[in-house]
Amino acid sequence: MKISSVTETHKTTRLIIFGGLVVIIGILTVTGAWLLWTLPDANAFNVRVEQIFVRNDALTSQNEINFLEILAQSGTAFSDTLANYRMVIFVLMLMATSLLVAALAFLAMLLLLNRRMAKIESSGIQVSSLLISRDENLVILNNMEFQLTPAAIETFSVLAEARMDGDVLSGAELEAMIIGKSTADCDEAAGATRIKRLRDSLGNQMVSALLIKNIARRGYVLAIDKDVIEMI
Amino acid sequence: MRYIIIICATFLATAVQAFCFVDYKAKQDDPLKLHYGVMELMDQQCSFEEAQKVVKQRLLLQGWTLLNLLSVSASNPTPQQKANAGENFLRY
Repeated sequence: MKISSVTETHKTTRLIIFGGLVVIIGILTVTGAWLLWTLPDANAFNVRVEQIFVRNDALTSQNEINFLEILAQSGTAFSDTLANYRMVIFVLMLMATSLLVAALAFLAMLLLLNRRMAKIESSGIQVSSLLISRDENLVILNNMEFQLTPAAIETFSVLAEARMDGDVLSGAELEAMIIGKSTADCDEAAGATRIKRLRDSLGNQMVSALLIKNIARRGYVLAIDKDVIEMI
Repeated sequence: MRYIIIICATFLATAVQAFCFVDYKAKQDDPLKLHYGVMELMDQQCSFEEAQKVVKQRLLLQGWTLLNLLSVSASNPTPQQKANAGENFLRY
């Protein structure tokens, strides 16, 4: 199976975007966890003061002890402030994460849109919806209505059905499906004539040539995405 | 001469009563409170390990945690120790 370069770049882009998202979330999660983990807890100051008290045998007078207690209290007050800061930093980090993720998503969307625009520009006609109404002999192409003859509508419907099945019809096959005979009994030229008439009645030679493609030695096919076809 | 007799008498008295004094450091958590104190122990509790056990027990009853013992001595506490211990002198 041959992989076209468009599909390949598409895959790599998707991989890069997913990788980017994972890396962003990973880095910020690790940093957040580290932040919460490493900030000293409320008791750290008390433990330190207690160590000072125990290690220095000379620290026994009332004044010195009072002083150490005040030191511990101010440390505890400071650690409360630190806890507040930690919350603030954490919220800011969450916001940073979401902003980065959003930025990456928008970048990806922009790339995708650019690529689609390039595709539309090169293809000449982009059919986003194709509605075939057999009762009214009407083809609605991107909200443009085309009134066709019953024979042309018949040809068009057969082509649309074949496209939905992913088939390419030769002229003889096309003719056989329309008049209901076996393919062997049908003439290739008859089908080709039907195609020609359909293109003519769609009016614009160029646009219809873009829409109803001829694949050499295989037959005819609608050059549109099969998902946009609708029959009523 | 009178002083010598008195001093001897007090020494004899302490010898008979057989007390010893320990000074220690203790703490309470949440909020952190520290204290230095002097405690009087019976003679059979005057080894360092034994004293530690007893002091720990007595302090725990009052809601204090023993940090460490500074000294165990048979002689009377110095005025300095007495002043530093303040209200915790022989309190527990």
